[in-house]
Amino acid sequence: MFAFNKSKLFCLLIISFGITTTVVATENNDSTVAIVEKEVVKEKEGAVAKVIVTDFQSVLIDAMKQGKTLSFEDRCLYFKDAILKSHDVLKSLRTIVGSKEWRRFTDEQKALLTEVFTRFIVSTYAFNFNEFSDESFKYVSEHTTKKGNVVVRSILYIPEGKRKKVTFDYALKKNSDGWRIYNIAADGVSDLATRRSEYRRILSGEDGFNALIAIINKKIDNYAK
Amino acid sequence: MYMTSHKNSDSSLFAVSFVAITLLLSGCSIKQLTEDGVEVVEVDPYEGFNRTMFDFNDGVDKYFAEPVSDAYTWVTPQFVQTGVTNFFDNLKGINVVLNDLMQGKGKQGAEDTGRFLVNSTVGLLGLFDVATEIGLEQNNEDFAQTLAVWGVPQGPYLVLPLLGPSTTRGIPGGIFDAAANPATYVGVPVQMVQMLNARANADGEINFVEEAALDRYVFTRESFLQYRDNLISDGKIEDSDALFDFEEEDEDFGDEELTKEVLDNKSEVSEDGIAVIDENKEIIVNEIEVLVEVEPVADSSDVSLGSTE
Repeated sequence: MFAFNKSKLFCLLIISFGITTTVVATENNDSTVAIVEKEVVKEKEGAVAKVIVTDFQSVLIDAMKQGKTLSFEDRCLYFKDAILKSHDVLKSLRTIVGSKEWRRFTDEQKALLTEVFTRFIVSTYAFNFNEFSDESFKYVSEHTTKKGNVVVRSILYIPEGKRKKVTFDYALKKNSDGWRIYNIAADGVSDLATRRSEYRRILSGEDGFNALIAIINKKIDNYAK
Repeated sequence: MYMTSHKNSDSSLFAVSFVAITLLLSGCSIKQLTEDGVEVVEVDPYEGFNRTMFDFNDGVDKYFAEPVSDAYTWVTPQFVQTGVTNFFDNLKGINVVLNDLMQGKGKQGAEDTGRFLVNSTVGLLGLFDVATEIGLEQNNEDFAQTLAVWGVPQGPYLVLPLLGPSTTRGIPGGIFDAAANPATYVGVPVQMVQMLNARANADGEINFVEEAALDRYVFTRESFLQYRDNLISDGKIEDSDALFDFEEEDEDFGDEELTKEVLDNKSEVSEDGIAVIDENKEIIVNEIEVLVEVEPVADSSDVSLGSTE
């Protein structure tokens, strides 16, 4: 009986507190509350985006650790799964190609390029992340851009060799599946910007589309060797 | 005494005149040019010359620098290579401090002075990087960055013989850096070791570009310019909005609702995602369409390809 009363009282208190705050908020500074709420949402979104990045990085480290036991094909499978879960490959590819050129593609061309491009990204990871010498990623900070996108900064430490650390900025955008990696910058070198210049140069040449597909396929073959 | 001061005024005059040339060159070459569908790269108006130099450097690297560097790496134990790298990095430390101060980075200048002193003494003339261990990390500053901070425009991209990627701003930058580096004054053999060691250290990066780039010239140019920009701004995360910059330019792709899943169904994606791509895609699609016509319900998984029409 007592317990019931207590909880009832508690409920009442909460409700009345809620009403009071709402009234105060609407009357006085509605916008402040809205901003605070927005900040909280931002923080949560940032945290979700961060997990996408750190999960992907732990896949990278795992693949390096298993570098000796996994074949190139095994690593491709491993990375394909991880990349599709964490990257928006199609959005990145669209940006690389640019809207003008992209609109000219047929659906079949889009499908072919998307498939070849995805395989290229996967092979690049599989080829480069193949041995482990105590590398580690350390999360540094995150930044929400004016448009509500998120950048997650981390540092790759390389204990062996001469270049000791590389700063990686992961730029994430939200799509219907959630936060996805859209662009990556290593020491300020933006992957999309670099590829954009390359791909557009090739596409603007004679028989650009087929030339692009041929060059990428050649690169993939070199990785698979 | 007279000799030294004379030398100094000479080199500063040199630097000043180069700054002037830089300003002149960059003033007349930056133009916003775009043609339909084709991006004219305004930062690289001398692309023809640059590509020739790029190929020349490539040849020198392939037939001379790389073999020598490989031999050097092969005969030199890793700890010696690290020591050599540390030694030359430490000599650059003086220039780093000068540029810290010229950019008004007082605190960093004090830290870099501490770093130089610690490594020159406890670190045995710089062979050991003790300073990093005690939290005085290496900063990357040079005169080209200082010029940028002072507002000197970057100017066109240039590929210099033997020295590689640069910009017109990078030329006075490089001259100042060399002048402020003690290694410049001790003789050619020392400089040769420095260059050799630098080439050996860059081996990983050079191979990466070779493997990853679709167009090595464009890849190198874009990476170089972005890397330099990042050094100038000291890579603040607040500047990273630029990673999304393309959006303004590209708003309408005409198929925003198109998803990767839809495209996957249109494409012959192999189970493992690594099989060789069919180059006769069109033909295969047509064949399946024919197949669908003859036997409309033969195999639902095959039909999905043709039925997306």
